[in-house]
Amino acid sequence: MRRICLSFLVLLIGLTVLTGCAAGNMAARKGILRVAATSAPLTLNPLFVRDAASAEVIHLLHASLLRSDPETLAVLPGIVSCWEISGDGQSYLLRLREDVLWSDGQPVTAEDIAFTLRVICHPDYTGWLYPLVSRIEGAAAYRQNHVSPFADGHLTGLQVLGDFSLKLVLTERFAPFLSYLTLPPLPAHLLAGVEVASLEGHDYSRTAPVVTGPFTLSAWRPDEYLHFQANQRHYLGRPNIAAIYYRIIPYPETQVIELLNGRLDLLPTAVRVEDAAALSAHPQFNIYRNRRLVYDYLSFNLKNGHPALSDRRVRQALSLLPDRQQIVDRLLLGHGEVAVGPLLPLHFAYDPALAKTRPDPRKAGELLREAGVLPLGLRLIYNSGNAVRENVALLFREQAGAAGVDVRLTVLEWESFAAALRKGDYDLAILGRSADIDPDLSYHWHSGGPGNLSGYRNNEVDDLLEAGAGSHDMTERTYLYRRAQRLILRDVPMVWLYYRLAIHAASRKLSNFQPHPETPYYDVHRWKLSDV
Amino acid sequence: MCRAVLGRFIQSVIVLLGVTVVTFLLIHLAPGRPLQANPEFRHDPTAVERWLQQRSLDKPLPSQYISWLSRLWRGDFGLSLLHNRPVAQLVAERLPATLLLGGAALALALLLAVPLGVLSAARSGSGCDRALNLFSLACISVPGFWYAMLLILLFAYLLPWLPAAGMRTPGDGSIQDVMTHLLMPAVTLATAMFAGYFRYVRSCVQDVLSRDYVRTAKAKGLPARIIFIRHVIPNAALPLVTMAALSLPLMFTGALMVETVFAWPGLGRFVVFSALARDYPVIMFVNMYAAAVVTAANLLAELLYLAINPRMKM
Repeated sequence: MRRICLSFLVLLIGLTVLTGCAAGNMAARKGILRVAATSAPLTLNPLFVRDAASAEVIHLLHASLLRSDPETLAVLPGIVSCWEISGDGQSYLLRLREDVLWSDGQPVTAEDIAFTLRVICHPDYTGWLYPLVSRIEGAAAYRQNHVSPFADGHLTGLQVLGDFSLKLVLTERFAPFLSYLTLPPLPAHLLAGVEVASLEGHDYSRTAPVVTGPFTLSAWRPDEYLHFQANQRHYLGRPNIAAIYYRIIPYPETQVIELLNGRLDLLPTAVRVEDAAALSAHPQFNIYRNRRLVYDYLSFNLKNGHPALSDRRVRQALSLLPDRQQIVDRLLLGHGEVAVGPLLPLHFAYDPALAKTRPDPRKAGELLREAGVLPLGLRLIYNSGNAVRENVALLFREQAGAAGVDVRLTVLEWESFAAALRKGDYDLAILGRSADIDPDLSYHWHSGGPGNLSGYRNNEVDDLLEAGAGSHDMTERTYLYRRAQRLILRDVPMVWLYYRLAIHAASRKLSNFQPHPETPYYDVHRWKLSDV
Repeated sequence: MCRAVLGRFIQSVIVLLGVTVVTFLLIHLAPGRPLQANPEFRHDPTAVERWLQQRSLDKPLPSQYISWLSRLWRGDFGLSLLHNRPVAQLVAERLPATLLLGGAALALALLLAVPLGVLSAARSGSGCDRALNLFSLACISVPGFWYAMLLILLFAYLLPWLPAAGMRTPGDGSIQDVMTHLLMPAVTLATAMFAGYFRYVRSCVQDVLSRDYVRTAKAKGLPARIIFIRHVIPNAALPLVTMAALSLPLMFTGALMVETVFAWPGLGRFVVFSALARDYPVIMFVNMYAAAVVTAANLLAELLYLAINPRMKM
C-alpha cells in the first residue's frame, strides 16, 4: 500500500511540474488587465469568424477599415482615412492612412485590402462575409470563374490606384456599403501565397503573428487563457494597458467570484441580470450597460408550421399575448427595453412614435374565435441554457392558455434547436436576431434577402427597401424604412419581444471603458488601469 | 499467460472497432450537423454547403466511415472541424490537466477510504463506524454541482484562501500555484469517489474478518494488529485493486461538471463542447480513446489479480 501511495505522489508531483513548468514567475500586476470569457475563440482570422468568442477577440487583434460610432453608429474613419462617393453613388474612392503598420513593421497598403476582398470573393472561401461585398462589380464572376487556388487575379470593380488608395465600383447604388467595410484586412505579404481553401486551417488562425490591432497575441494556453501584449505599432497610439490576460471561465458564477476576489478586472460579457444589482452596489465595481444590435422575438413557422398561423388574425392574436413590459421588468430586471419592430433604438431610422403593443388577452381571444381556429394547440421550441428565454416561454404558455391556446414547450440543446429551425419542425420558436449598424432591412425582410428564412414577402416592402438602399439621403432613408417597418408590423410576421442590454462589470481601477454595441473592446487602446 | 494476453488483445481490437461503428452511427443520428448557420447572425448559406463539401461531409455515411477508418489505419486521427487542428494534438494538450485532476482525486479518495474503511470494519457497530457510514452516505448523496459551488463560496469568497477558477494564475504557474488551484476541484471529485471506495473497503474487510482463518488466528492468540496486517488487509485488497483499476478510465476522460465550474482546462469540458458542436472527428477519437482506456484498465485489473492472487495462477 505504501508503494502505491508513493507512486501516486510521484505521479502527482510529476504532473504538476509538467503542467506548471512552462509558465514563468508571477507577472507584475501593474498595467495588466484580467478579463473573463465564457469560451475560447475558435479562430483569430477575422474572415472566418462564426462564434461570439472569436468575434470578441478579433477586436483586440485587428483594426478595421472603417469604424462606427458607439452611440450614433455613424461610419467613422479607421485604416481608411477618408472616402469619396461618386455622383452616381456607385463608385467609392478610399484613401488609407499612411501610418498604419502591421505588427511586423510593414505598412498596410491598398494591396492588403484588395487581397482581403479577393479572398472573400474566392470560390473556395467558406467564411460568411461574401454577401457583404457581393455588390462589387465582378465579384460574382470572380466567385464563379476564378480557377487559381490563390486569391490572385483581377476583380473588375476593384482598382488599386496607388499604395494607399483604391477604388471600388458597385453594380448598383447601395447606401449600406460603407458600413459593410468595418471588416479588418489580412496581411497580403504573409498570406498571398496560401491557398484560399487552406486559409481557415492555416496557422494564422491560431497565432495571428501579424496584426494591426491594439494588441498582439503572445501566448495561448488551451481552455485556460490568452495573453495579449500592447502593440507598440498600433496606429491609434500605443495602448495604456501593457497586457491582457483573457481567461476562459465557462461558468458565470465562478467569473463573479473571481471578480469579487480581485482575480479579474473585467467581465465584458455574460454578466447575468441577477448579478448586476449586487455588483453595482459593491464599492469596488462599476456596472456598464449599453444597447446592442440584437432583439429577441417569437418566430412563426409560416412555411410548414400549424396552418392556422397563415391567418394574420391568429398571428395578431398571439402578438397580443405576451406582456413585454413584465418580461423587461421581472425577467430582465430592467436591463432591457420593450421591442417594437426590426428598427432598433440605435438606428438613425428608429421610429420613436411607434406604439408599444400592450397585452390584451380578451382581444386576442376574440380574434382567435373570429378566425375559427379554437381550440388551438401550438408547439413552441427554445434553446436550453438561456434562462431569460426559458422563463419567457413559461410566461407565454401561461398567457396563451388564458386565451384558449394550448402551447406545448420543447426545450432543445443549441444544435438540435438549430436543426429543428432549419427543418421547420416547430410552430413557434423563441430566438434572437442581430441587426447591422445600417438600418437597411433587406437581409431579413426583402423577399430575396438571404436571411429571409421565414419566406416573408410583401412587394410594397420590397420596393421601399430597394429605394432605401439606393438612396444616400438619410432623411429619405429614414422615411422609407419607417414606412417599410409599419407595413412589416401590419403583417405580423413575428412577435418582437425585447431588446436586451449588454451588461459589463468592471473594477473601478479601469477607466475610459466605453463599450460599443458590437464589442466591449472599442477604443481599448484608451483604457487605463490605475493602481487605486 | 502470453496466449491469454494475446487473446484479450484481439478481443480488445474487435471491441474498439465495434465502438467506432456504433459511435459513428449515433453521432450521425443526433439532430444537427457541424457548422449549422446560426439563425441569429448573418451568414452565407452557400458557404456552409461549400464548407461541408471541402470536408467531404456531403458524402454518404458508409463512404465517410470508410475514409475515416482508412485514415486511422495510416495513423491520421483527423482534423477537428471546429478548431481546424489535429484531433490528437488537441486531446494531448488537455490530457496533463485531466490526469493531474483525476490522479489527485483518485489518490485523495483512496488515501482516505482505505484506512477509514478498515477502521470502520474493525469497529463495526461502534459510534465511530456509524459516524463514518453517515459521512460516506452524505458524500455520495451530495449533488456535485451544489457541493462545488459551496466550496467556492466558502473557500474562494467568504474565506478567500483559494482561487475559484483555472489551473494556474496567469503569469505564474509555480508548483505551489497549481496545487492551490487543484485543491478544490480535486476535493470535489474525490468526495463522491471516496464514498464508493469507503463502503467497498468496509464490506471487503468485514467479509474477510468473518472468515475461518481469521477466527483461527484470533484463537491462536495472534495480536489484532498482526492479524490485520498479515491476513485481513492483503485478502481484502484483492477486490479493491480491481475496483481501483476500473476507476482508472475516470482519470483519463475528465469530469465535465468539476471542469466547468472550476474552469479546469481538461478533457471533460472539451469533449462535451465538441459533442454539442457536432465535431465528429473529435467525438470519434475521444470515444475510441475512452474505449481503449477502459479495455486496457480491464486487462490491467486481470493481470494485477493474476499477480496478487496465487490461486489464479493455477
